Amino acid sequence: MASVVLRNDTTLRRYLRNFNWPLALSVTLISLLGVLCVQSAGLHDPDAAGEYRRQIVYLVLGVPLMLGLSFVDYRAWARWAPLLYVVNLVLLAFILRGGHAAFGAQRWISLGPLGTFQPSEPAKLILAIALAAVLCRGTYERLADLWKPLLTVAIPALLILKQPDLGTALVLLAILSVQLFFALPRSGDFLIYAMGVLLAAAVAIGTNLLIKPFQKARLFSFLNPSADPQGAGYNLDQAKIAVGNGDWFGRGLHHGTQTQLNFVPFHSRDFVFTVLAEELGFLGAVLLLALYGAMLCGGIMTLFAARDRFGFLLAAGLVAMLFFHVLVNIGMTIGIMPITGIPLPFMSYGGSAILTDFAAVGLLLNIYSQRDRDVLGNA
Amino acid sequence: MHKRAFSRVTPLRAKLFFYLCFAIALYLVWRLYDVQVLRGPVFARAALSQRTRLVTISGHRGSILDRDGNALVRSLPSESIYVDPQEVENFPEVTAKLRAVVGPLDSQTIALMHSPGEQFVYIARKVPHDVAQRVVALDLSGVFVQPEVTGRRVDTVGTLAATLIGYVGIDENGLAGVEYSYDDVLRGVFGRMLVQEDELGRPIPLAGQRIVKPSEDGLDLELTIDSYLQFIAQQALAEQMRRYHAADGTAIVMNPWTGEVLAMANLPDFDPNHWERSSADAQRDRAVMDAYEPGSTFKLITAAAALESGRVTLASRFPARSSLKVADRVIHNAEDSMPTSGSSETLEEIIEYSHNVGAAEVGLRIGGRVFYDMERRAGFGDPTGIGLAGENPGIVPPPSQWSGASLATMAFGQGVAVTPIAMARYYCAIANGGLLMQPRIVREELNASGHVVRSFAPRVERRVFSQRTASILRRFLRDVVLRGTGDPGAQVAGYTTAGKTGTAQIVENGEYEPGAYSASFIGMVPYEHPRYVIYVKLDRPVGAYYGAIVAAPAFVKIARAAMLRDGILPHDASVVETR
Repeated sequence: MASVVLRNDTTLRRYLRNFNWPLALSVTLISLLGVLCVQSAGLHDPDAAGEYRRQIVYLVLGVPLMLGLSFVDYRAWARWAPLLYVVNLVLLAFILRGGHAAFGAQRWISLGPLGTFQPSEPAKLILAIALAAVLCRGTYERLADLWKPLLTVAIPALLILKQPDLGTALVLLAILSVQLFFALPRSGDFLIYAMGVLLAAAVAIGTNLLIKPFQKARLFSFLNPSADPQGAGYNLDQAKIAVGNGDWFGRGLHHGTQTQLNFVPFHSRDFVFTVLAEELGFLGAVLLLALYGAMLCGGIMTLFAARDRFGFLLAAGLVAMLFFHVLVNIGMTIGIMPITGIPLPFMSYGGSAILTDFAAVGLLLNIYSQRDRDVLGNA
Repeated sequence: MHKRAFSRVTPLRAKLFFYLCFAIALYLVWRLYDVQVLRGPVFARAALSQRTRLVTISGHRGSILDRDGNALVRSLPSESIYVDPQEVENFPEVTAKLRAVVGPLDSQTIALMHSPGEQFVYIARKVPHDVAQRVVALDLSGVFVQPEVTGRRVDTVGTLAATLIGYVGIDENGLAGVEYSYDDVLRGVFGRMLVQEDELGRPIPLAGQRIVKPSEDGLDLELTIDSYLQFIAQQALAEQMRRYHAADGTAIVMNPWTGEVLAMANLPDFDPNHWERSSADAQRDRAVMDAYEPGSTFKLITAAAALESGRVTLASRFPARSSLKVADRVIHNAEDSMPTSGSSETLEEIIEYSHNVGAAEVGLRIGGRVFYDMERRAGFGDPTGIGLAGENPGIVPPPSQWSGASLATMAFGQGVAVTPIAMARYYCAIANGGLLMQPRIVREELNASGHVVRSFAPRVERRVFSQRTASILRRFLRDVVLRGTGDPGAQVAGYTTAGKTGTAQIVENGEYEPGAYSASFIGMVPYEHPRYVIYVKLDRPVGAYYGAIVAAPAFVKIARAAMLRDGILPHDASVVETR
């Protein structure tokens, strides 16, 4: 009997046997690469000079957070989901009133000497949990039942759009979409949902109701950056020049001219990929993508390892969240995605984002670690 | 085995999801390959052109030195102060503090500072380094100091030889005088340098600057000017000008043997450091730019022509009359001429007492061709080739353009126009035994390390007359000082001098201007072996207008100072006046 074997097993040996090594190792390596790039980005940018030290601190906090969460039974999150969801909404509502504005948006809560906290980062994680919980209750045989998950997403998404932070709102949409993709029993229903999203997007873009003109300009500048090289297209042009300047082997760490000379904006944050691509070249970029590939594989492994619907949907949402970030962030620097300003997981400077990402991986690790659990038992 | 707790379709979808993600990842890699490797060179070029800029680097403009190597004018590194009004926080504070350091700001600058959208307003250009440092120390937001590509030209000797040296524009471009005439020598050759800049266009120090074309420093110009003589000449001229309220004046000191100009003073003058505050008239180098009717000093050309032609000898006598009718004109002796003792006079007496009638008779006797040839041989009617821009060749009409009385009047210096430098040069020929020298203002061109790049040797244009004629003319000039119109005005106690007075009416718009005279004296010292030819002319003196009275005293001062400077003591030390 498997249960007998399990009972005789020590907890540590079981944990190690069920540890998702590709996932944990890849994100740790990526975050180390991230420190390297953030440090390089701060060399000649006084605003970003000390950022890599803080990034190391976030790493030192993030890895234990990830490992700690991997010991917390993920099913507990389903019970805590309503509370987390409400607290998150309160925080998101609060920053619209008393938040700390920077870079033209109101996204931060000041924590005094500890810096600032960006509630929209954990919001992604919390939404993945809440949506998974919502989707577990009910069979969703009827299309009309969709209102529950839609509403669950709509409230935080609207609050985040108000900041304004289009990128994060889109991440929420990605989480919802992937989770629905797995949750809806009939494929046709998912197609109807997808059509609905596209229609809503078209209406939003057509009417200026939900997104601001500057967001729209930025959104579409990637299609034709030369139309406005000094304005919306500037960031993209500069990012592309920096990435293209990397060639095969890069200009060498700390020797990327475009990023070091501050042509590329926010190159320790949203555009940190340009530092890597310019200084370490195509090979460096492929190394990073390979690490993300390992992360994705680890995520998919978790998907297959999930022992219940909640775990499966939660894993799907978290993988979607991480992968969507990678795709959009790297995509925007090479001109195939709109510039929406979302960070590159484990690479971009920012405490809220890094800790959220590590927490997400911690959850995934726990889901994976329960792969040999008896479906009905407690093991 | 236990059944899974959820629908079986999901693993299929998970695979689908995985493949989709994988495909997207592959697409990302392909796009990266496209941007980084396939189109990498294109972007690398874009990156290069974006962060590099070709800037001009200046070559240092050469200094202007006197003949002893002392700097008269030099270039210093300079900075300019400008304001970006967009970044100014407190306008009254900024203007008040700037005013305290750089002096008053003009209303145009103030207006520009307040005009909307303006981002660059010069407050002061090419300020001294200490002023720039004080502005930096103020630490005002919106106020910036930027180094200038070209230097700040400083005339270290102020008005000394100002009209000769000239001045430069804001970009150190020579605009007048030696600065203009020798601009291509003094001016450095601009180089080009590739610099790397950040997004805001600030140069990145030490970031692989590459000099595309090196700049070359301009050469130093060592002038023939002797600062001491220049100073003395300027002082002596100024004193006479003050005494007789003259409108303007010129003094030249030349070495007759080499043609070197040792001093060239013009008044009124100006301060080259603030040339824009002076009138164009004050900036003129009258010695080379202005031709005037010379009057009696020109009789030496007549005498030279007469002696060289052989048609007149020292024994030849001319009727001593007080007036002579030639064609439609009646010629009188000038008021400053002296009476003769007899009824006839020799050439020597004509010069000595400055008789216009006599000179006219000499001219008529030798004929127009001979006279004109001598004028031309003496270099009149041509630029002297001194090498200063804007030189006036003078007006020496050929015989074909003469009217009936022309020859007679030209013989005593009416109806021709010459420049002071041309006259001084002619007297140099008398002093040196008959050689027409090219007057020179530049001795040497030196590179930055002080090595001579080019040196200019004395140049003999031609022989004007024989040595014998030269010594006769010199004796005539000696007589002028001893017994003639130069007695005692041009005598220098303890030294032997020789020279000729000149008084001419000033021609204005083709007519003689009543009461306006130019008084001149051209002389040499010492008579036996002249070291210096000294030219002095004052225009429109008031109270007196004879060359002997108005101009000769300046000659005397310059001559005495020059001799003493050379360590040549007077024959009898007790004769030197003490003042």
